[in-house]
Amino acid sequence: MNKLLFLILALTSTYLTPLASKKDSRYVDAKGFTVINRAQTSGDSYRRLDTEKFPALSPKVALYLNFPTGVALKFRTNSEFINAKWVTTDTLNGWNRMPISSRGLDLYIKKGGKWTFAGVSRPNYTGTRHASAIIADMDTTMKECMLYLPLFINLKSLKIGVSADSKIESDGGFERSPIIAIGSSLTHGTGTSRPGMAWPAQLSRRLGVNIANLGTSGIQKMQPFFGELAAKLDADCFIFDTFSNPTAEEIEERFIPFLQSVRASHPTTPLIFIETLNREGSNFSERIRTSELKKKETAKRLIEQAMKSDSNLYYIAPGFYLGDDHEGSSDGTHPSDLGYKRAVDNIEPQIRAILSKYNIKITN
Amino acid sequence: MKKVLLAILACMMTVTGFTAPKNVKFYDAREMTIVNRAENNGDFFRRVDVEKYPDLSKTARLYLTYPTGMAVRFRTNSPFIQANWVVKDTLNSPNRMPLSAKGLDLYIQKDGKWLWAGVARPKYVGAKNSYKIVSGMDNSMKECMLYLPMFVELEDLKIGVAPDSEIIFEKGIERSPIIAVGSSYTHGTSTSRPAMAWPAQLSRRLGVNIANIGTSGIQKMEPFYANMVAGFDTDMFIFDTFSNPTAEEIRARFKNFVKTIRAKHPNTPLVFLQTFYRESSNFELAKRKEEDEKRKAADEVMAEAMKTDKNIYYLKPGLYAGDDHESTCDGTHPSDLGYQRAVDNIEPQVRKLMKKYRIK
Repeated sequence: MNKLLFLILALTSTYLTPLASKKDSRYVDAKGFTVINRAQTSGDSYRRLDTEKFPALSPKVALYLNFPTGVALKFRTNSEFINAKWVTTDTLNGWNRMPISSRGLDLYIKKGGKWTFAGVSRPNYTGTRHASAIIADMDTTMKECMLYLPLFINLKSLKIGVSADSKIESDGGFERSPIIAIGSSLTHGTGTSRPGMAWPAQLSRRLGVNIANLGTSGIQKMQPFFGELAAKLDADCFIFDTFSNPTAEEIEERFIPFLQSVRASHPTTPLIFIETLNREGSNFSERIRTSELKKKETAKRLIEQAMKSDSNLYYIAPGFYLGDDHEGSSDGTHPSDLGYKRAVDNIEPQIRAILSKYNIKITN
Repeated sequence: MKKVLLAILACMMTVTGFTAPKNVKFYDAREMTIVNRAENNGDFFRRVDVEKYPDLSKTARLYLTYPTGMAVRFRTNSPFIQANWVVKDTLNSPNRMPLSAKGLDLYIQKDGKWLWAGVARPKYVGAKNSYKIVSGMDNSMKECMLYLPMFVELEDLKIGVAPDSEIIFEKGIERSPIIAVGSSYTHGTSTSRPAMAWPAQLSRRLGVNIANIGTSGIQKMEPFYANMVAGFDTDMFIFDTFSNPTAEEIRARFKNFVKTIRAKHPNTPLVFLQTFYRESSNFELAKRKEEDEKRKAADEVMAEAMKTDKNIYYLKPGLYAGDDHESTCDGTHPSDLGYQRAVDNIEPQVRKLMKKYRIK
């Protein structure tokens, strides 16, 4: 890996946005910091996918895959505070998305060998230029930092503010993601309170392995271009949340071709399919209950059939299990952090067992 | 309570600005039953009749005009339920889900339990909202409870049902046997929807109305809070009053706060909750020190008070959110995950106290 040290003399920022904090801070451009949880090891580090390479993607899928969803930057610093100034596009504000989650940043710092939540940056409620303190008043030991990028917006630039007399450094380059998660809004992270809480990010911290998030809210219907995309990506294991968005008819029609398309380049890679969640919207709506049941039945039948002739295919059911108190959802479809936590509690041991079988390295 | 049944032939609403669909009939929620309110008079959509308390600070007064924690009760056999509502669109914040701050949250009773049914989506910005909360239901008569927004003034709310269905309601305010007084932790800042703040969750689990008098960032046991709270009629108070004040403020104000309330409630159980652990103090040394000092001050004043008052309780840990450090949205405010853990912790303790004091 190309080792770049960004030390001491980084550019002083000339942003107009006032930031109520130390005067003796300096801002370092985060472009060039080590990138993790990305599906590819080249391209724009603030996009989770180099979408130009995949011209078949629908415009909306391409838009979503240009977001930095799930991606985190790694750096080290001994600064007593960390600030951020960042620029986003201003679109797609959602009534069911926490601004911190869709447009903010989420910092973890290693403590006793474990990634521990440290702080978030607060975006403006509307607008494209954001400036916020993330954390202050730390001791000045050198710390490993991991900063999750926003889930639902294009990130144009990001500068990290540290104290003028401190060090900030990063190895640069891309860390490979042994696992790639492909899915719906449940994977994308709709309903989370901050970027680090979508299931691929939670699972990644628990297992100690990079997981790329290719969740595309509302539009993961196993279209041929998704199959071709997965086929072209390099990973040791794929986890699919592909039974959430399509109808039962679409699952029936598309699952086998999707699988064949992925298998064409990944003949023996473990492919783990996750059963979709119980939509709380079906507690009283017969219509939702009936259509969801039909989707689940279709998915189960097809994958169990496929597993007969493919020993590297797995189905986790229940998969995104949110408990039985019906309180794990934000809006009837999307889990809150409570729901995501319960889902990860459910899938973690099963995925751990599969990774162990394939000797895929995890550190926790 | 005067029992008025407004079935079928209630007034058709002609709210300006809404293009009311022809196949929806709207009813004014101000004519329905309100639960989880601290007082039984005043504007139904304000949790407190703020005009009665001229001493309130400006921000406290504003926050107390929000319908935080309150819910509207009605029964209907309509296959769908719609809401048209108007809010005063202010105070948007990055750590508040629009759905929680400005939306509505519906529960329906099923087999004797309140079961989540649907939400009404607010606009990201804007005052006038309209949304079909749930549809495709069977046509049995259902007991409904619709939680109101947490962080905005509610000016108008109309409930829409199928014209050929029945909707039954009676105007009135149900008394709250428990009143929760507190900070943003009680108010419900980073919940994903209105029904997930701890007083609402606890209320459903225990089956008792709990009024939410949480005021984000400003509950520092000032005399105006004590005076207001002392005037409330209830069987138990739960206090989250050790979150906003500094250690010095806790030491300086606690005694008088209790004294003022005790003047009107000599034997009412007063249950104080230890504050949440702030996840921002994982690495922030100054914050950690400040929080430790606050806890220490709270421990001291509580130990002192409990020596002479046998109806004072201290739940410690109180607002406890686990030890994996994953339960907040922003380092201060719990997400639904943190709230759920806190309620898991306080529920059995509050249940026991209710039994002791025969609170139904």
